[in-house]
Amino acid sequence: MIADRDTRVCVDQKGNRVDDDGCTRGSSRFGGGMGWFYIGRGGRLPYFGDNVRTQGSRFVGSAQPSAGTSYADAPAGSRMTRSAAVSRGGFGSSGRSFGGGRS
Amino acid sequence: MKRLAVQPRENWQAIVEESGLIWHSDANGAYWDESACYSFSLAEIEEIEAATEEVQSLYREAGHKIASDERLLSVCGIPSDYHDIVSAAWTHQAPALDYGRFDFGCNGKSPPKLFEYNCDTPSAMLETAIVQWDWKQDRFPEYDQLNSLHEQLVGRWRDIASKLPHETAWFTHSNDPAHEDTITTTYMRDIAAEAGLDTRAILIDDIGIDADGRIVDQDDTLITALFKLYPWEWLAAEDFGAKILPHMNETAWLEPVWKMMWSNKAILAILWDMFPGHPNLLPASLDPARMQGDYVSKPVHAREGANIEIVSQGQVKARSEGQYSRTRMVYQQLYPLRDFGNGYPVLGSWIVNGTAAGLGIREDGLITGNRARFVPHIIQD
Repeated sequence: MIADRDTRVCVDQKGNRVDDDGCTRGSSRFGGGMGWFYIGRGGRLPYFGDNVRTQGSRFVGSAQPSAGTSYADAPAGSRMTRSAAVSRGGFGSSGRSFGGGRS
Repeated sequence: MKRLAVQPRENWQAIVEESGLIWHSDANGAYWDESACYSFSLAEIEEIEAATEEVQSLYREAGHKIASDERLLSVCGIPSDYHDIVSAAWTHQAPALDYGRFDFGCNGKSPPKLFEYNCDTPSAMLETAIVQWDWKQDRFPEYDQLNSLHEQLVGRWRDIASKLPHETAWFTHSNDPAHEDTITTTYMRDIAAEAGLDTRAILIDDIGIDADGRIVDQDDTLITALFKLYPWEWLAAEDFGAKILPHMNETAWLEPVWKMMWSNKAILAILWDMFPGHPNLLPASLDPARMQGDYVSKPVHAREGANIEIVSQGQVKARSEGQYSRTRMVYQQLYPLRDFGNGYPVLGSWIVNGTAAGLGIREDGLITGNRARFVPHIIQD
């Protein structure tokens, strides 16, 4: 997902994106060490669990905001966790057989 | 309760299609039938509402009993590897729309009698909430209708939104040829969006699982809340059914897995055992030898009136076709439906979170199946 405005996301001390609560509420559930990571408009937004500091990371930004710039919270569509599917099509066979699942 | 002849609106097909009801007719004729309507007095409507909320309370008591009883979980057709997760979801009251459609028989001579409860994947929602309301406003604006289904569902989504991660939900269904599942699910998605949720769509066949068995969408995003117009007994039996169990609690399933206790017909026998003689229940048993007089046999798991038999004086009087297994059956006393002029009406009484929410009537022969006609109603008082 691409940022349509200057945007900040919350990352843990390892650089993994976490919920914004970790930075706004100082939530202890993330283990401390939270901080904002600032991404300019047009930059790629990380999903939860994506690491913004990995060498060669696709995420361009900084732990320091640009002076005079206000940053928006990340949109809801990026507040997701990604995980690669290893299999698809394991649901749906009954629906194909019976023609629908309504009752 | 009366059946009135009504002049259909000119170009009614286009009108109902505009509301999304594209399955209004098929080769056998109209499904949406506005050449008639049913008229109720307010007292009759209040009786239906009271019966709906009363029977819901019986289901809740039955849920407590079933969730703690391995034998009853099996009686309800729930596979053994799902017993623990069903019981836990009930105990912890996982987020639920807690909605459904009770099908009642009503002949004007007795209180409404429960035929079954469709609470996992209920259909006729759009017809009930939107299409018949628009019809009433066109034809009988001076009268009322038992219909707050849309508003109550919006309210219920608002109630549970904060319990769904990031107030986001996915909506899934099978790619049915008539598009009824598609439109019904899309309508529910619209309702959730109206309540403020971020919504996404995925066909049931496109759902994936990751290496841990967590479900993901077509973009490999973890699905954190899933509305499914797809029965739990099918999900449990399919290839992913066992694989998702270890991480099932990481997704908010709508409806939750405990609905397996209610969305089968064996519970009709459990209810009768728990509440014998209840005025809104019909005698029901898992043993045909215990039935006195005429009865109906129904598979524990079947949909849209399929694979049902009506047995009168020991002989099969009517039978519906279908592909469902008849190896596990429930037997329910035959209720004498009344023909009001063009078939036998069954009252589909909707409930949302314990409150009666709407009425949709379908007419058919002795067995209400997928050829039934939806006939709108009004309240005249």
